[in-house]
Amino acid sequence: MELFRLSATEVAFGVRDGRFSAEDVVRSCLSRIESKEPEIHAMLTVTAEAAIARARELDGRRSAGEDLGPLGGVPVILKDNMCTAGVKTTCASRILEEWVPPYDATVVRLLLKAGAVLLGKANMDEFAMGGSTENSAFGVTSNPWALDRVPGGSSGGSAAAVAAGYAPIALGSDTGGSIRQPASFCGVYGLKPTYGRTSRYGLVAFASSLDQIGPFARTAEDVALVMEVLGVHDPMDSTSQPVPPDDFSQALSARDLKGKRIGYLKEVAEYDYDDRMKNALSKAMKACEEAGAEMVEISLGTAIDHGLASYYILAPAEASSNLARFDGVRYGSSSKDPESLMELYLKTRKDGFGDEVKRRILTGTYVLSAGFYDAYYLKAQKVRKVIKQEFAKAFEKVDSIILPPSPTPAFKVGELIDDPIAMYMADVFTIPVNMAGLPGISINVGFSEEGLPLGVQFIAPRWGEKELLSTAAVMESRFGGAKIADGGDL
Amino acid sequence: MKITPEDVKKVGLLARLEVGEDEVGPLTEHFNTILDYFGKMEELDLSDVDPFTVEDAEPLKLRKDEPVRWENRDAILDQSPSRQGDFIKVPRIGGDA
Repeated sequence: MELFRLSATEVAFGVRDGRFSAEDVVRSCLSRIESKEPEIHAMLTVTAEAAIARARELDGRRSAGEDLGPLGGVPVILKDNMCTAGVKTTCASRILEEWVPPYDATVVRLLLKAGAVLLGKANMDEFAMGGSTENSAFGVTSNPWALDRVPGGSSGGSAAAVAAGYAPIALGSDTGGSIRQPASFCGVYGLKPTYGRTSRYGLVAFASSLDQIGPFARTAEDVALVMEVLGVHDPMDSTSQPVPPDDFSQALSARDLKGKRIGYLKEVAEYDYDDRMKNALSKAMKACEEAGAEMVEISLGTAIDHGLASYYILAPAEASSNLARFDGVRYGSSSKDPESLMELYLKTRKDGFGDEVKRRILTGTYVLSAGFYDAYYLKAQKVRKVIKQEFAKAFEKVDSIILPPSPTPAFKVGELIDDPIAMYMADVFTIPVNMAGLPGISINVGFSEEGLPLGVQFIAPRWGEKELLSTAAVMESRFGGAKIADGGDL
Repeated sequence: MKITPEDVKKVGLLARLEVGEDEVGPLTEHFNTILDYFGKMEELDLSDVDPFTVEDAEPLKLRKDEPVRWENRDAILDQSPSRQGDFIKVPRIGGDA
């Protein structure tokens, strides 16, 4: 059997029962990476030797009768913006090309404590800024379903890795849709948790009030398994909330959606977007109805019409502040032999950052600068407040909301790269969820005629991940779990 | 209001980010496109919205303000581009340079 095809749950059970070893699983995944990576380029670092050593250690502990934890022997891949002690964390940027963190991010610590095996770090848009993984300083990742297309972004490497069978689980970060959109493009499950559910300690910050770490997987069960490990309070992150750990797996027992009210948006119905995504949405809405849900039309006018503009003020404003720490002094690359401190800053940052990061730092600095704060930043904060109120009102009427994760399926590499506004528009249906701090999940509901994955997104009130997982489990029973991309020459 | 190449250079200096001559043109164009797009928000009446009160805010859980010993202090110092003993060396700050 090709062990790389197993889900995380199957791996954990199999290792626990001694049907195969953790080392067998890790070797199978590493060999899959080796054969597919030349075409896909989803990885920035593969920690093969350390992974095998770790798997052996786990196998030894199991033989000694020790319980390895809920993820015992499960291979995982991390987006390269999560700190890993002793393993490079580059954020896909030249400025951190050689940086090796001296500590683990909390999510990494939790995964390892639960018995997971780290296989390596995945490609991404530089500092998580982008929607296609074309903005990586180390090259583009290809979509495993169609190599001439993007995997989505900014967590494109993580999504592509799970779709290609590198590992059953990968972590991404979602600031404006960076888990849900690539999950849709690559045909896998991607959950953006409620803001405050997963710790951001050790996540290299892009926009701190919006960023949230979440999993990619090929089944709803695996999403639940990982969230039970990650969804705990972390005193190292003041925005991490002390909510009691949820029994997410229990939510998977839902067999239908009877008694559920699911909202669909008037604004989405009127929005001009790709027919393939419209069909996927209709198909999913029909499946919800057949499963007993009542579909209710709702309106989120400000979120859809103005969410994008306000996000592209607030996120760069926070980014310009967060990225001020990359100055060539304490860590990262540094300009050689500068004449003055100012020259050190200017040259280091000019050479170290890519175009999109520079654009966002400059936009952020501009909207925060004297004279423009009221016109842009303050106004955008007000829009964010209105969006939150709109969602609160909507959730008085419905249990969850269905909408597309993006206006199109995966687009071609290079297709939007010279048109930043068009690229930003790809986030129109995901951004409002971050603005309101809500949880959202993207799941695959099929493929287009040319074989491109098509996803739908469900969103719930704060702390409503169980609602999302119940819905995902019911949809999975109808549409099947996510598939591994094997097709064509792959 | 249109942004000029001089504005872009000035913002670059504020952001400690040198904007090269070859970058000024495309960045100016980008800025004007995106600021036009932001103009969309003008159609909203936000006069009664107080952006800084949050009804459902979760209380921040701050740690106690007490020092914690970081065991591998050298691992942090070793990451600096220019280390001298227990210090990080930077170019001269004062004077003409």
